[in-house]
Amino acid sequence: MMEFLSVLIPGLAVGAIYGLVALGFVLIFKCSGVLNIAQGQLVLVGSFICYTLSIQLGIPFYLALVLTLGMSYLFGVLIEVVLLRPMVGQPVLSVVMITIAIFFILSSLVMIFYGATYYNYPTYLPTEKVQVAGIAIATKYLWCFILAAVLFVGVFLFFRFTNQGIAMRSIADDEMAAESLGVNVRRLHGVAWGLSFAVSAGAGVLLGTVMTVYYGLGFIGLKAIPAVIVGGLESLGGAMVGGLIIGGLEAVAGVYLAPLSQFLGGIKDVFPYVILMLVLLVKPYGLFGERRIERI
Amino acid sequence: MLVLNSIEVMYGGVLLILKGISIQVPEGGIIALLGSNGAGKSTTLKAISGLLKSEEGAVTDGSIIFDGIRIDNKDAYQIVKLGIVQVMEGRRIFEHLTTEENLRAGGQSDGGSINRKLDMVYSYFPQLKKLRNQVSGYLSGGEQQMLVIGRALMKHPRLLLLDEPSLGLAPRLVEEILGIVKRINEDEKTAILLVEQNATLGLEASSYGYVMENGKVVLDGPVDKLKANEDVKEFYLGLTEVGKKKSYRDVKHYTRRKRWLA
Repeated sequence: MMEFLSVLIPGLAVGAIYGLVALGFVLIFKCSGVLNIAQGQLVLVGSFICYTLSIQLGIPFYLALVLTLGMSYLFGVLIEVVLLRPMVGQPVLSVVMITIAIFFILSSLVMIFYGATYYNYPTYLPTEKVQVAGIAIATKYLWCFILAAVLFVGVFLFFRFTNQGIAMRSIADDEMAAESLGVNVRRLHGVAWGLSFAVSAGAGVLLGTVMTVYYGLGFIGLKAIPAVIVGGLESLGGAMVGGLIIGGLEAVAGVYLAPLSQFLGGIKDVFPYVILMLVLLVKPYGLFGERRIERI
Repeated sequence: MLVLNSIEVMYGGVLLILKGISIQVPEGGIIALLGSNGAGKSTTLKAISGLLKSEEGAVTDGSIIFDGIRIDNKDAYQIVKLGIVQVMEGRRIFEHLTTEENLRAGGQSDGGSINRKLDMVYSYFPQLKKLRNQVSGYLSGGEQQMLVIGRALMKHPRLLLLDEPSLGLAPRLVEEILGIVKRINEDEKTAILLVEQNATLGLEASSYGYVMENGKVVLDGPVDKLKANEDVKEFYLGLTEVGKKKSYRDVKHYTRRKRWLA
């Protein structure tokens, strides 16, 4: 049992990060209906912005983290204004193609400036382990849960209670009706992209802390896609739950299933997609997806 | 208050939908805009409220002036700020939001407390108050129509554009909703431009009417005069002269010429 938990908890911590990236996904999808393929690369860019600020420019780490979130927000708004705003009203497929282009441009930029080297953040967390219910957990995993929870609750409260959040959800339901009520749809699209980038950058910093800062983080960020689809494309809570499910099961599969047979060696990386297929077979909208409302 | 000077509206740069429409809405009045399917009534409303742009439509000629300000080149949210709110055809609620969230989605950006506005809307539509925490997608048709009108009221409009509030509702409900609309007009001094296919209803509620066909205004006048017009009677109100012998020629109404198309 102890051993199981010591496998599961780091898995869930990584899952919380997937959940954050998934949250970024949902933010954009809900508000503008765009499936942003580049989401994983934002994780990568976020982790490197924080690296550059904290190591290369020597800014204290927590300040660097806040700056990273802020800069990513502005970056998201910029991308929306420059690349996506002209595409409003164009076919969804073209818009998705643009996000694929963003994916490749961002990953190439990181490759050009930083290469394929591994980097580390300064040690900003205590290295000794914390005892929780008899299990020793590395502080960095706890930190993952805390930061993920803070960002998630922030986004959730924003959508539930603020006028801007409600207006954003109204855009998701009926953009033109929202416009007819004076909602500034274009501005809120920008806000959605900004928030999404900020949340993803936060996830990037966490991933960089748990693992290392390197080129491959973008592809790890892409595991958010199964998390999103398991959770349901429109549900913020679903994104988080989906992330936790994927992260937890992935870790457990990697430790317990992989040794069973030589054919299962790579099961850890495939397992999220297996879960994805199983969930979709039973619940085509994902676990918490919005279904079309039909009145009887 | 609102003046449309012979506006033309084109969709996608090729489809000329409105061919020179001139309409005036006086302060605090109720004006009816009648016409059959495809006459251009909804397009007229969207031209006023700025919603054409998201459908690749544009006002290509003429001007729309509200309180002396030219609005035909403004964005929808700016026009709402000036005090014109459109209630679109077909009860376009935000179906995954609760009733109250639907109302609040329309209530931001201008000053004034949201709670006071909510109370005002609930006083006109007491039913909505009971349903405030229900997901609006499950409301009945009548309740949804009340919700979209209430949602527009949250913006405290000076001019309300109502597009077919009677669509698909039982006659009793239509009466109730039009009654409330009249009360809003009197109490809040909100001017109303009412689009209706149901001409009887439209003429009953308003004081002045315009009849549209094929993107043009073919007839306008005070309601009494319109009601007395032979063509309006026959083609829109479904009344024929009683006691006259009918020939087959009269029954085949499409062979008859409307005087205004001469």
